[in-house]
Amino acid sequence: MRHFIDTGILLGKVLEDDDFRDVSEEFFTGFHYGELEIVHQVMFDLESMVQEEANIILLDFLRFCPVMKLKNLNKDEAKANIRTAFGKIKRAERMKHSGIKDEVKEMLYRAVDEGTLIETVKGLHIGLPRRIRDKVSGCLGVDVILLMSGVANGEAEEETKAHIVQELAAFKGTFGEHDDHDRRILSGLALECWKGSDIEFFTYDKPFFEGYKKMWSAYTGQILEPCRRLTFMYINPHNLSAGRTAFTPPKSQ
Amino acid sequence: MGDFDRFVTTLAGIRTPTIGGRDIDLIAKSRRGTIIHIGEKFRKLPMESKERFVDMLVDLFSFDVTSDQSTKLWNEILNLEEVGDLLKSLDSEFKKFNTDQRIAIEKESIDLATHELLEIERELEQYLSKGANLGEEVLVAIQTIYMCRIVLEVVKQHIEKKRAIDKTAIQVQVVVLAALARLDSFRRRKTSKQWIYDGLTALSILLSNEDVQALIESSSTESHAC
Repeated sequence: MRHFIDTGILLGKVLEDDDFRDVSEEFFTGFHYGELEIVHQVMFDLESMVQEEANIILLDFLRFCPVMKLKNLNKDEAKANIRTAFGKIKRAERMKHSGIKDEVKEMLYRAVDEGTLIETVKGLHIGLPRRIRDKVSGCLGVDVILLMSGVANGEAEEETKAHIVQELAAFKGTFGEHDDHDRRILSGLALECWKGSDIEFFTYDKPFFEGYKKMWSAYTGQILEPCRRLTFMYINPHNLSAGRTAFTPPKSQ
Repeated sequence: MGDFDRFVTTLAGIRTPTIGGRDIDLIAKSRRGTIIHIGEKFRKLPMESKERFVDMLVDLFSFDVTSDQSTKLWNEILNLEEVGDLLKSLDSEFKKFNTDQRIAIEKESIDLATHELLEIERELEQYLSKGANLGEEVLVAIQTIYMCRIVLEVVKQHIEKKRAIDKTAIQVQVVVLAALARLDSFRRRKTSKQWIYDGLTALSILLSNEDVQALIESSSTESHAC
């Protein structure tokens, strides 16, 4: 049995339980979901999620405080405006993680000092802190499984992958909020199963989990046979170690 | 991004020989004429052919394709009526240049592309003052174009420093192409927002690279010294 973890959980753990800039030392060594194999270009996903959340915060900020207006103020006034605008930003559903808001605010303060406000908004990217990078890289080790880019070579596997992708594409329902992305993860997992592994996949993305269950209700035949070896585990995002609901597809007769 | 000539200049232009400007002496007159002629033909293509070409080019970066599928897609582009022959001619002409000439062409192509990107960026910048009406997609588009421009400037410095168009320069330009193509792909409603974020993330990661940071800093120091 191999265990995969939705990178959303990883990010949740990194950014919610611990502050964005202060990750606890024991997180990676103390992670207890069995054999820790991190799915699908972990660093990339982490960066992408942080970027998206930073943009949501930035958009809210710009609603309260257009950046062009700040350009005409002196530094102290501009900073005061930024502080007031950030005070008005309410935590929305898509702002899941602490620390990012403060990071964006500090970047804007620095931009005021350096006279680079517009450039900062246009080029806003929050790189993951070095410590997180190093820890994730260390965890991945040499056996990292990059589901999307590390698919096995060979004609038969290419055909199988194409078949899996095709079947997933044919499913009319949606999986998660990021449907394309979720289909890609699922096809990667299915391919890994086809190569002979039983997999437990942990996710706290409920729409993704529900979409997967719906797909099983829709497909009762032989399609996506490899997925029969895949078990989805739903994790309650508010209490990562409890409230699991597993969904195992019916075994073939 | 909807204007074809701008699109081709920006997207295809990055890897397409363009002639004129300060490096003109490096390039033989007869070959220069041939390429200008090909460029003209490109511009005079029927709108339908142009649109089909751009659409297929965008597809190359819009879906999760294997290298086999990507080769197949590229071959389909090369077989496109009119467009395919022009691309083959350009490729064949490009191969006739020596290293110095290729570098000159590459740098000039990057200048052209960054100039075009800057113009688009300025057009989009006005949306930053729109407050509540600024959409997330517009913000991501501004950020993507801005970062593409910065990355291309870094590539140009890299080429100047190495005096070669090495693998890194080409790979980084592919990241830029992919990010731009994904933007257009989103505009064409072929892909979801996640794809444009993926393109933006790839650029962010590039810009976070320590070597790239060093290049940006050294360039900023040089420009201040001037």
